Amino acid sequence: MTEIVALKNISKHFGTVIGVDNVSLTVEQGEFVTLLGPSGCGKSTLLRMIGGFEEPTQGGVVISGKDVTHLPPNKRPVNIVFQDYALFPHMSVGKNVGYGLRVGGMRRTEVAERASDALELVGLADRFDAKPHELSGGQRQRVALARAVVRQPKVLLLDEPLSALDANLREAMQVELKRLQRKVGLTFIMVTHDQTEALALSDRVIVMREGRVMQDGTPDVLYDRPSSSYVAGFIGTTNLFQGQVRGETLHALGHQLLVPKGLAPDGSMLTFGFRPEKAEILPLDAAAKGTLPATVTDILYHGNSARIVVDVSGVSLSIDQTIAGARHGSGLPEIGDRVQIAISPDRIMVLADEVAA
Amino acid sequence: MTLLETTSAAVISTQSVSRKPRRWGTRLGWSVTIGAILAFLYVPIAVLVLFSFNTSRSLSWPMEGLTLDWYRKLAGNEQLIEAVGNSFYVATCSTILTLVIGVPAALALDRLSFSGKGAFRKLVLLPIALPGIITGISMLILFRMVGFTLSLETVIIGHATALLAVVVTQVYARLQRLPRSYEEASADLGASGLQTFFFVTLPNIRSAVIGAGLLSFTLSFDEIPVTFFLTGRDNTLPMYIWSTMRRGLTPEINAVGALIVAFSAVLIVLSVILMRDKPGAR
Amino acid sequence: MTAGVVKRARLRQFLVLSPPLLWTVLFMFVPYAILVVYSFWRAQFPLAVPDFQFGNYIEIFTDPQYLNVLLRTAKIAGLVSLLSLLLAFPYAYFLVFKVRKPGLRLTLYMAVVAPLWVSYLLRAYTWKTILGTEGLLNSFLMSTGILSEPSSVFLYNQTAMIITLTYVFIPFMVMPIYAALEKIPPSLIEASGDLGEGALATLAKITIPLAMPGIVAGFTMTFCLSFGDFISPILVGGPDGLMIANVIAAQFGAALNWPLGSALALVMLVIVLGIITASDRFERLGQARLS
Repeated sequence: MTEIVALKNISKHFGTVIGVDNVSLTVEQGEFVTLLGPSGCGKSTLLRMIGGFEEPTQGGVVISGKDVTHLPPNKRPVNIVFQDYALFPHMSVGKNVGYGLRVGGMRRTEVAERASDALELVGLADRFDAKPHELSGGQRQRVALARAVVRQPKVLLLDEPLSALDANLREAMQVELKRLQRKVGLTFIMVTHDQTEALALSDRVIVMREGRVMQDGTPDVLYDRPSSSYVAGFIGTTNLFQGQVRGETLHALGHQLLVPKGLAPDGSMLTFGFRPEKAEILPLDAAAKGTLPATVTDILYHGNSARIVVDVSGVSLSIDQTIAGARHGSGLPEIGDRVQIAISPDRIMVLADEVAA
Repeated sequence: MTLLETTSAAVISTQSVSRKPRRWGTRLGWSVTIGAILAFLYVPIAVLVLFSFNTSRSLSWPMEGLTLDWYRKLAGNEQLIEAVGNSFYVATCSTILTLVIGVPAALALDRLSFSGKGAFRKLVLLPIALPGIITGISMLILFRMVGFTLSLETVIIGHATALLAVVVTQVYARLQRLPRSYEEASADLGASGLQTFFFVTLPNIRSAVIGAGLLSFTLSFDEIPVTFFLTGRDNTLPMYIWSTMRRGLTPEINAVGALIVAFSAVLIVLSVILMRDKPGAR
Repeated sequence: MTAGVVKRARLRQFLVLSPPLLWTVLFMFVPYAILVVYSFWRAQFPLAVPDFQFGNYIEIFTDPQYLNVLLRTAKIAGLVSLLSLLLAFPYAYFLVFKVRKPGLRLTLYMAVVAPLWVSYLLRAYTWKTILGTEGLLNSFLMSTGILSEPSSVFLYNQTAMIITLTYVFIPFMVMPIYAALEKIPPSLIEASGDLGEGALATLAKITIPLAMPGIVAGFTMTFCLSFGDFISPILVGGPDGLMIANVIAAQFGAALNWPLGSALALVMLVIVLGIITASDRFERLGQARLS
C-alpha cells in the first residue's frame, strides 16, 4: 500500500479558537477513512484543509508525495462532495458533471461523453438534461458524486454526504457509496457525526474531539477496544463504571468480577466498561461465579432484541438480550425482578481516562 | 451601516404569514386608510399624466378638452430631444461604470477579508443616505482643482460614484444568500478564479445585477443634485425640465412627465420579471 | 513554487479589490478630504485662496441666518419623517398582519416602492401644479364653490414642502418598517392576544417595540434625505422655505463663496453622519438586548 495523503502536525486557529490542534495522520491508497466526531470537533476543518479551502496555521499537507499546503483547491488532485452538494442551480445535471472537465479545457463532445459515463456509473444516465432542482435528494447526492469522480481525483473528500437525506434513503446510499468506492477504487475521506455510518462504511475511523485525534483504528478495534470512555460512548452504547483490579478480580459496583490476568495495573482506580450485548441476564437462583445481583428497572423492546436496564448498587447498566420467539414467554424478566448479570470477562474494557486518574 | 442594508434588502423581500379573519368594521376602517394612502401616492401621478392631454395651457380644473398637441410639440423640441439623448448617454455610461466597479466591490465586501474593510464599506455605502449635494460639490471642487472641464463625462463620474452604493447593497444582499459552497465546488473542480466568477458566481447573481443596473439607470436618468453641480454646457433631461419649470408651468412638461412615467413603468415591470428568482431555471 | 501560488492568489484578490478601492479613494475619499481643506480657505476673486482660518465656521455659527436655516431644515425634515411614519406604519402593518394573500401583499408593497422609479423631479413638480394658485386644488375648490377666489395658502410655504417631501420620501419609511414587522413571528402577537392583551396594548407592548429598528431606520433615511433636499424648496417652498442645501447651492452659484459653501456642506455632513451613527448604535443596542 502506498501513502496518498499525509497530514503533518497540522493546526488551524480561528483567531483565538483552536479548530484543529496538532493532528498528524496518513491515508493509504484505496482506503475509506472516516473522520468521526460531534460538531465543532474540527473534522470538517481538517477535511477542508485537505481540500484546500482552509490554509493550516501550522503544519503541512502532502498529497501523493507533493506538498500542497499552500495550493488553492483548483491546483489539488482531490475533489469534494459538499454537505449541500453545491450543484450549480443554473446548469443541467450533465453540465454540472462535465464542469470540471470543461474548465480544464477539454473539448465539448468529449466532456459530454465523459459526463454521461459518470452519470451511468451512478445510475442517472437518463437525467443528463434535468436541472438539479428537478431531482430528489438521493439523486442530487449521486450527481454530486459523479461530478467529483469524473475528474479522476487521487482522493475523494465527502463532507457529511448523507446528512441531508432521510433515514431510509441514507441506508440505501451507504450501500451505494461503498459499492462506488469499490468500483472506482478511489481513496475516500469522509466526515460524519453518525457513528453507524462510520462503522458501516469505513476501513478506518478517526475519532476526533476538540481538534485532536482521540483514536485512530479499524471499526472493530474502535468498537471492541475503545481507548477512552469518550470513544466508547461515541461509538455504540457502553456501560461505564469505576473499579480496581487485584489479580484476576475486579472490585467494582460493590462486588467482585472475574477478569483476565493483567487487564490493568493492580490497585489503581480506573474506568471500566462493557457493551450491552456482552453481558447476560441470569435468574437469581442460577449458580455462577463473578456475577452481579441486580434489579430490573426498565425494559425497552427492540423487535429482535430487548434492552434491559438494571440497577446494580445504585449504578444503572444496560444489557441487550436477543429474543428468540414471541415477546411473551420469551424469557424476558419483568420490571422489578431480581436477577443476576454475568459479564464475559474478556469483554471488559479498560478505558484510559482523565476521570480515573 | 446596518440601516442601509435593511432598507435595500427590504426591496426584495416579501414573505407570507398566515392570518386570522377580521370583523367588518375594522375591515372598512383599514380599507379607507389604505385607500387614502394609495390615493395620496397615485393621484398626483394621475394628475401629471391626465393634464398632459389638456387643451388649455393652464393646469386648472376642470379640464377643457383632450388633445395630443403637447406631445406633438415635444417631438419638435430640439433642445428636449438633445437632452433626452444626453440623459441616455449619461445613464448608460454611469450604469456600466457602477456595475463594473460595484460588482467587484460587493464581491470584495462579501468574500474577501482585507485590512480597512470596515472603512471601505462605510465609504462605499455612504452616498445612500448622504444628500446628493455633498457628492456634487465635493466632486465639483476636485474637478476644479485638477482642471477638468465640466461636461457630460464629469456628470457620468459623479453619477457612478453616487449610485455605487445602490449596486453594492443590492448585489451584496444577493451574494450573502448565495452559498459559498458553489464557488468552493467550482474551485475544487479545477476552475480558476475568473472561470468561477463567470461560470458560477455571475449566473447566480445575474438577477440582482440586472435589477441593480436597471435601478441605477433610472436613478441616473432622473438625477439632479449631482448633475446640477457637475454638468457643463450640456443639459440632461431632468436639468432641462428643471430649467423649463422655473420659467413656468406648461402641459408640455406634463407630457414629458407622462412619457417618463410610462418609461419607468416599463422598467419596473421589466425588473420585476427579470429579478424574479426562478431556481434552476435561469 | 508554493510561494508563487500564494502570491498569485493575493494578486487576484488585489485585482478584484483595486478598481472599486481606487474609485472610492479617488472620487469619494479625496473629494471629501478636499471639501474639508477647502472649508478653511478664504473666498477671493476669482474663487478662493489657500489658507487655514476658521472664518467660515465662525460666520456659520455667529450669523443667525445660518442657524435659522439649519433649525428650519431640521424642523421640516423632522416633520416630514413624522408624517411619513404616521402614514407608513399603518400601511406596513396592514400589509404584514392583515393581508392574507401573498400576491396582494406583494402588489401593495410594490405600489409604495414603485414611485421611487418615477422621476423625483416630476413627483415634486406635480404637487406644484396641484397646490398652485391656478392649480388643481384651487380650481377644484372654486368649481365646487367652496372657495370664491383662488387662495395662495396652499403653495409656497412650509406645509407644501412637508407634503411634497413626504410624498417623495415615504417609500424609504415603508420599506424598513415592513421588513421589521415581517420578522415578528405572528405567534408572538397571537400569544399576547391569548394572554388577554387588547389589540392596542399588543401594539404598544409587542409590535411597536419589535418594529423599532425598522422605524428608526426609516426615520433616519427620511430625515437625512429631506435634510439634504434642495429641489422641493425651490419648487413649492416660499421665501420662508429655503433649506440648508439651497444656501449651500447658492454659495456655489450666485454668492460665489465656495469656502463658505464647503464649510456649510461639512456642517450638514456632520449632522447627517451623526444621525446615521446614532441610529446605527441604537439598532446595535437593540440587537444586543435581544440576543
